[in-house]
Amino acid sequence: MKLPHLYEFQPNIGRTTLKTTNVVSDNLTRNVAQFVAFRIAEQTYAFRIEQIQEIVILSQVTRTPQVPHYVEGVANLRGSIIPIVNLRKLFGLEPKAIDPETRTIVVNVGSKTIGCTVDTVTQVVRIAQDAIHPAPETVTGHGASYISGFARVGEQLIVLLEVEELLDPQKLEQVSKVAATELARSASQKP
Amino acid sequence: MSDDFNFSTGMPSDEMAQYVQMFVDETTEQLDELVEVLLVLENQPDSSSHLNESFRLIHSIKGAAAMMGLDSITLLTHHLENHFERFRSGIEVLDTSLMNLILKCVDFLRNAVETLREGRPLVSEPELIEQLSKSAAEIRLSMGQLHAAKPEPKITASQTAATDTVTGDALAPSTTPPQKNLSQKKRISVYFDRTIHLPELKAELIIARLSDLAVIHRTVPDIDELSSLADLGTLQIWLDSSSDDSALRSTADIVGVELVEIDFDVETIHEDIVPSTSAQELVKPSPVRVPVANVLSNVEPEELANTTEPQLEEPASSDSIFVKTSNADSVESHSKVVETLRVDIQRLDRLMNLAGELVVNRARFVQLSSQMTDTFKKSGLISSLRDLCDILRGSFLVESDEANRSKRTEHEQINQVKETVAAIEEQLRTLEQGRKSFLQLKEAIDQFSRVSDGLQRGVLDTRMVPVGPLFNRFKRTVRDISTELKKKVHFVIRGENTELDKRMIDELGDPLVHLVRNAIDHGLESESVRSSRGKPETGTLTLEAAHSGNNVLITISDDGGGINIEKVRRRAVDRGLITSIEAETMSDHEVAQFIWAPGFSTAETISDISGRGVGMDIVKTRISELNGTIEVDSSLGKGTRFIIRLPLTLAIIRSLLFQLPQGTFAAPIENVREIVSIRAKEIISVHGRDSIEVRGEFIPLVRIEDVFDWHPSASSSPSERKAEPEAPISAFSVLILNSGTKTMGMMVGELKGCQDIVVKSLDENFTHIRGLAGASILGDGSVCLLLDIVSCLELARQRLRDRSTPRSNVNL
Repeated sequence: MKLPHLYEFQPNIGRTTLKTTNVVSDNLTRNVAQFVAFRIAEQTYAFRIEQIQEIVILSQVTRTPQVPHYVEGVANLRGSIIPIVNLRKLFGLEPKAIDPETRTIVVNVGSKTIGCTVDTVTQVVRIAQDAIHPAPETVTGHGASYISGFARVGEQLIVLLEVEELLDPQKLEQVSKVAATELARSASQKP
Repeated sequence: MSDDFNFSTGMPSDEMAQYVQMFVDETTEQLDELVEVLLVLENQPDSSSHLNESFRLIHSIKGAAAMMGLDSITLLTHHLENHFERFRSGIEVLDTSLMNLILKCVDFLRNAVETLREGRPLVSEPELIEQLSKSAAEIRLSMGQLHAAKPEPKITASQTAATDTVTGDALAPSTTPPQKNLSQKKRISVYFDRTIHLPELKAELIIARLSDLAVIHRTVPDIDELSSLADLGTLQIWLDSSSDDSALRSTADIVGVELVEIDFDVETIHEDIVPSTSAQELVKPSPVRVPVANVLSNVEPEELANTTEPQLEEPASSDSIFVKTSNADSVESHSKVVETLRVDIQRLDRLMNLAGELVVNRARFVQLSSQMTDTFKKSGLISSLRDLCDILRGSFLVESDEANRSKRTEHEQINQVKETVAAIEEQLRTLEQGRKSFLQLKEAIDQFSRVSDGLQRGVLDTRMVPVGPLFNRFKRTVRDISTELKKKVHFVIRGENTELDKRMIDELGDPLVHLVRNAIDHGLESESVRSSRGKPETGTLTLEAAHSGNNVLITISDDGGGINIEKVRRRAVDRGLITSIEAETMSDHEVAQFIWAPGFSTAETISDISGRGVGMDIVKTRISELNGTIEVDSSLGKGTRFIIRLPLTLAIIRSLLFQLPQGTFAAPIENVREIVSIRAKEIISVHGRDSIEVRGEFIPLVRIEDVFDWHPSASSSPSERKAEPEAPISAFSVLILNSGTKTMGMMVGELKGCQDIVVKSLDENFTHIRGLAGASILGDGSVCLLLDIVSCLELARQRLRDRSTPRSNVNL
C-alpha cells in the first residue's frame, strides 16, 4: 500500500506554504475529508488527498511523439518514468509557460503513476461531507463524470475532481473532448 | 487395490502452502522431463531405461504431491505409476492409445500445476483415472485369460502396487514368509484421517512404536517440528529395518490412520524435497547386491512362494536392473549437476533494476569526472597560476627596489601585495592537494566502473537460462500436430545450450508455437506429394539456436514446399495491399514480407492448426516487443526458414545517444550501421524524397519529424526553430540505421556517444508508443527515448508514402 506522501514532500512545494483551511468549525465529529486545492486559470480545483501521491517541481520533461497534445511528455520520478499531463491543455485552455509557481501533482490511477501539471497548488482544505454539493446535472449530463462535486470555501468555489475519472489513460481522450465542448459552451453563454 | 484412496481434492494443506512454489517449479520441470522421456518411449516402447526414468519421475511427482496434500494429483500419478510398473515388468505394453491417455494425464497434471501456481483450488479428473483403471482392468483380464491356470494373475495385481505397496488392511502375519535377516531401507508413509485431533501426537506415537522395530533415519516433517505444525496430513519415515512390511504396517497403523504405505527405498525418491539427506543416502546405496530379494520383499507373500516360476523371474530381474541403473543414474547426475538455487524471478527483476540504477549512476560519475579532467588532470592550471604569482612577486621586487626612496605608505602597500601573493600560493598548495585527490577519485571511479560492470554482467548472467527446455517442449507439439495431420516429421533440435534471458524465454513460447505449427501444416507437404517430388517421405523440421555477436539467432527451418511467392503476390493484389503494377515491380523478397501483414494467408483451407491468417503478424509483433527481428527466407519447393534475431537481454541495451531539438534519443548500437557526415548539397532528391549516397548506395534520408508526429511544445526553445535552417548550411551527422534488409539514414544533431542504457518500458505508467522501444534515465536524471528502429523504418516509409501519394490513390 502506498501512503500519500504529501507531507513528506512538502519541502518540494517550494515557496508556497500550504495552509490548511478548516471549513468545519461548528462540529468536529462530522465527516470531514481533506483536499489538495490547486488553480488552473481562474478556477480552483481540488483532488482528495488520498488520491495523490506527492507534489513535485519537475525540472525536465522529455517530449514524446505520437501523443495527444495534452501530454507534455515523460519525466523521471526517482527512477520511474511517468507521463506528464498538462491539465490546462486537457481542459482546452491556452497553455501557459512554466513559472516558479508551476507544480506537478503525482497521482496513482490503478497501477499507473501519472503526473499532471497545474498552475499552482494553493492549500490543503478540510471539507465536511455535507458541505459538498453534487455536481449539477447540466455538467455531469454532458459526460463530465470527472467532476465529483462543488464546495464553497470562504469566497472560493472549489471544483472537486475525481482522479480516477480524470487521469485514467483510457479516459483522457474523452475528458479532453468533454472539457473542450464545455469550454465552448460556457464561452458562448458569456455575453 | 490401492486405487481406492478416498482422497478429497482441493488446496494444499496450510502448513505446506509455503512449499507450493517449490512444488510447482519442480513438478513443472519433472513433467517436462517426463514428456521428453515419453516421446522417446513412443518409438521404443520397451526401452527399460526410459521406462524406469518415467516411473521415477511419476513417482517423485506423486511423492511430492502426497506431501503437499494434493490428493487429485497423488491419485492420478498413483494410477500412472501402476501402469508404468506393469510396462516395466513387461506385463503391459505401452501402445499408442495408452500413450495418448498418458499424455492426456500429463496435460491434466500440467493444468493442475498451473492452477496451483495461480492459487486456485484443484479439481479432480475422475474420467482420466477411470480410463486408467479401465485399461488396467482390461490388462488384468487378458492376463487372467492367458494364465487362467496359473497364479500369475494375482502377481500382476500385486505387481501393480509393488513399489507403492498394498493398502488397506495389513496382511495376515501368518502368511508372512521367513524374512531374510537383512536390514533394509524403507520409507513408510502414514496418511492421517483429516478429522482426527492432535495428529502430531499420533505421529509421535507411531515413530516411538517403529523405533522399537527399526532404526529411524529421518522423518518428514521432522520429529522436532511436529508439535509446531498446524495441520498434519501425512508423515513419512525413512528407516532401516529387518522386520517385514506387515509387521511395520501393523505397528504404524493405529487409530486415526487412514492409510499406511511402505516403499522399498530403492532410490532417493525424495531427495528433491529434502535435499540435505540425499548425500547421505547416496553414500549408502541400497543393498544392490540382493536386488531380487529386495524387490520381492515388497511383493505379497503369495508371490514369494512363486519365485521359482520363470514368469515371475523376468519381471523381478528387470526390477533389479532398475535398482542398479537408477542408483547409478542418481549418483552420476549428482556428480554432474551444479548446485542451484531457486529464486523468485521478481527478486531478480528488482536486482536487475538496481544494477540498472547503478549503471546510470556510474554514467553520471564518469561524465562528471571527464568534465573535471579538463580542469584538473593536467597540472597546467596550477602551474600557470603559480607562474602568474611569480610574475606578480617579481614585478613587485623590482618595483620595491625602485621604490626604496619612495613614501612609507607605498612600501606598506607593496608588502600587502606580497602577503596577498603568499596567501594565494598557500591556496594553490591546497588546490594542488585537491588535484591529487581528484586523480585518486578518478582512479576510484574507474575501479567503481569495473565493479559495476562486473555486477551488471553477473546479474545478467543469473537471468540467463538455456533454451533447451523451451525447445524440448516442442517435441510434444510436433508429435501432436504431425499425428493429427498424418505427416511424418523428423524434429531436430540444435544449440539447446544457448542461453537467453529468462523473460525472453518465457515470451518466446507462443511465437515459436505459431511458427512450428505453420511449418508442419503449410510448410511440409503430405507424404505422397513429398515422394512425388523426390523428397524423403519424412519431413525435417529444425529448431536451432546460436550465438551471433551480441545476439541470439533462433532458426526454424523446414524442408517443405516453401512460400509460393506468386501466390503471395496475387493475394496481396487481391487484398488491395498493392496494385498489380506494383506487384510486377516488387522483388520476391519484398513480396515475401506480406506474410507479416495482419490477416494474410495463402492457405486455401483453414484448419484447426493454422491458416486463418492470424499469427504471423502476432509473431512479428511479439518478437519486436522483445527488441528482436524476424526474417523469412524461402525457396519454392525446397523449404522455408525463419530467422529470429534477439538481443541477449532485454534490460540493458548498448545504444548510441544523440541530441535533437526534441530531446535526447538513443538508437540500439545493433541497428547503427555507420555514421556519415553529409553536407546539405550532397542531399539528392529522388521523386521528392531526400536521399544520400553512401559509397554508391542510395539511402533514403529522414528527419525525426518524418518518423513521428510532434506537438509544438509550450516551452519550445527558440533553438528548435533555429535548428532547421541551420542544418543545411554546415555538415551534419547522419546515422545509417539498419534493420533486417531495410536501411535508412536519420539526420541527427549532436552525437553524445555510446552508452549502456537501462531500458524502462513506457507502458508501465503510460502507453506504448509506436516507434519507441522504451525510455531510459540518463546520468543527469533526464529521460531519453529509445528508438525501435524496425517500427521507425516502417513509420517513416508509411508517412512518406502517405505524403507523396496523391489523395485519389489513397482511397482505393
